Amino acid sequence: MIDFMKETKDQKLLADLLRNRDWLNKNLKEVQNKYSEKWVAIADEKIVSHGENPEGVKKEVEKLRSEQGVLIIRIPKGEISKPI
Amino acid sequence: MGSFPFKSLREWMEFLEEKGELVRNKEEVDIWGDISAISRKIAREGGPAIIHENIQGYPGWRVFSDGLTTRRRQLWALDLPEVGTLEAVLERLSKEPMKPKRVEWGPCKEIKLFGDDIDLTKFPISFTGEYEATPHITAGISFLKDPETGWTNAGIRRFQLIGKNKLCNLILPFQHEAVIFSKYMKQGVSTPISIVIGADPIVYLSCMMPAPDQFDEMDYWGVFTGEALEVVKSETNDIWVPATSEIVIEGEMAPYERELEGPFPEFPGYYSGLRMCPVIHVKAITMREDAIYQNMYMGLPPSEGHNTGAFVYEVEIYRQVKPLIPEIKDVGVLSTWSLTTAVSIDKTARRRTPGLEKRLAMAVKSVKAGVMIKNLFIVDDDVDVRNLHDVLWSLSVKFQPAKDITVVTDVPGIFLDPSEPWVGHGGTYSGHSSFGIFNCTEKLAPYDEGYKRGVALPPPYSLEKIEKNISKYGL
Repeated sequence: MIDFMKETKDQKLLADLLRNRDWLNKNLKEVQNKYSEKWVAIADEKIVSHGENPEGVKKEVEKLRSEQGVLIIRIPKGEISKPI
Repeated sequence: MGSFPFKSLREWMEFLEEKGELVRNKEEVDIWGDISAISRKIAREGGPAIIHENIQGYPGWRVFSDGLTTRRRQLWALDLPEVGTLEAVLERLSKEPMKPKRVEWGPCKEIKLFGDDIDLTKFPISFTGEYEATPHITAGISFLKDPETGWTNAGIRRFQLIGKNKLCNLILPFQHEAVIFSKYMKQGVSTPISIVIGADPIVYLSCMMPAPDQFDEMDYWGVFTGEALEVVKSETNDIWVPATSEIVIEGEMAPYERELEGPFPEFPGYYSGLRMCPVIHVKAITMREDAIYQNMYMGLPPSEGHNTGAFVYEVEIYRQVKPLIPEIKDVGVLSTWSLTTAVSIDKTARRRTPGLEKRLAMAVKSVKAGVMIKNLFIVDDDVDVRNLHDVLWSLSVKFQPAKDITVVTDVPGIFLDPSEPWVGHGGTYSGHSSFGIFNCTEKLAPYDEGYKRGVALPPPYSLEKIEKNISKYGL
């Protein structure tokens, strides 16, 4: 039977990621101003690490990632395209 | 045993299991990469379809994938022959479209979730690439209804999970979905949408057909099978979906709301960038009690997505070019959607009409189905266009770089191809490509001396005998 009631660790990690993505969506301009063309790690709705490559950023937040969903993403420069 | 026409994912799975082409995986896998890594291996090795029955953190769920990864399974799905496939498809498509049959109820209505009960984090939506921000539904079929004409458009699309009850939908301006969404936008109202996850393979192949405007893709189901597809009404809108679907997500896209979409492992094998895309607010989910979640891996080719796309493109390029250049014999998508494609041409006709191969190339690039092609190999009709060895042999011995390559510059491309410059600004980028024609056909006089004795092969009777008795030789 599919269990919709209990929240598992994987589902919690995913929910963290969704929250961090949402935070980025709302604060994109500010994040771009500081971290454009950089890789960042977002945990608990704040930037917890940044760098030139994803491997370095990932390494820095390795411990944190075992406990919570950390979003690792490259921040683009300039306007974000809007296809429609 | 399931048999053609397959009326549900489950019938299709029964059939595959009977054929020894479905693996039941009881080993635990996760959504963070395991499911995609297994699909990648299956695609690279031409492996079986798979159902994962033990998903870490998603008790009770099962995930199916790779039903259409191999050409053999694609042909089974539509009950098509291995030889003369394209002609057989054309024959089916020449029949009158058949409208789906509306029914009161279907298994996809066994569970109905509304309001606070909707939580997409409880569904095993899998990551495809390591640097995907949040996972995407990759085997979701979008159903949209034209507010003016009633036309229902269906297409397989990706949907990024961005909230417990929110998805982000990449809609590109040249797609039918954009035509319909724009009409609702002009009226300033939300666009109703229903998304099917988990359906029979004919539904998946039908919705991938590049249908003309105002053509309901689900009518292809009847064309392929000779029977009408059974559909049920969605709970919160007037969109009808296949009754035996595993999961149906119903929602609305607000006209002007946009959120960050991406990155996603795109078909060229690189990540897409971030874009601002329409948001789907989920209003209802209906599903089977023991629903099977379906996944379709994309990213670095090959994958189930690429292989299925290749089949559909081959059919469509052939169908659209044949009336223009009847001398086209076969089409093979060699790599990456249709970016690199081979077509074969009637050798005798070509000898009678010098330059015919270039006419064929122009026709292929001109039709809608051929618009994405960047590298086109033209080969003789005694070459298997889907066999890389054969195509590369033609390139090696029938092609001279100095005179057999033609490059057409400044043609439309697809901006997801990272080798293209992005043209335009203000967020409406489009691709800008070039088109390379590689004429790999036997040359006419005065270059033809080497071809006059024909291709060097063992005698035909030996080839035939060996083929017929192959198992006797332990092969």
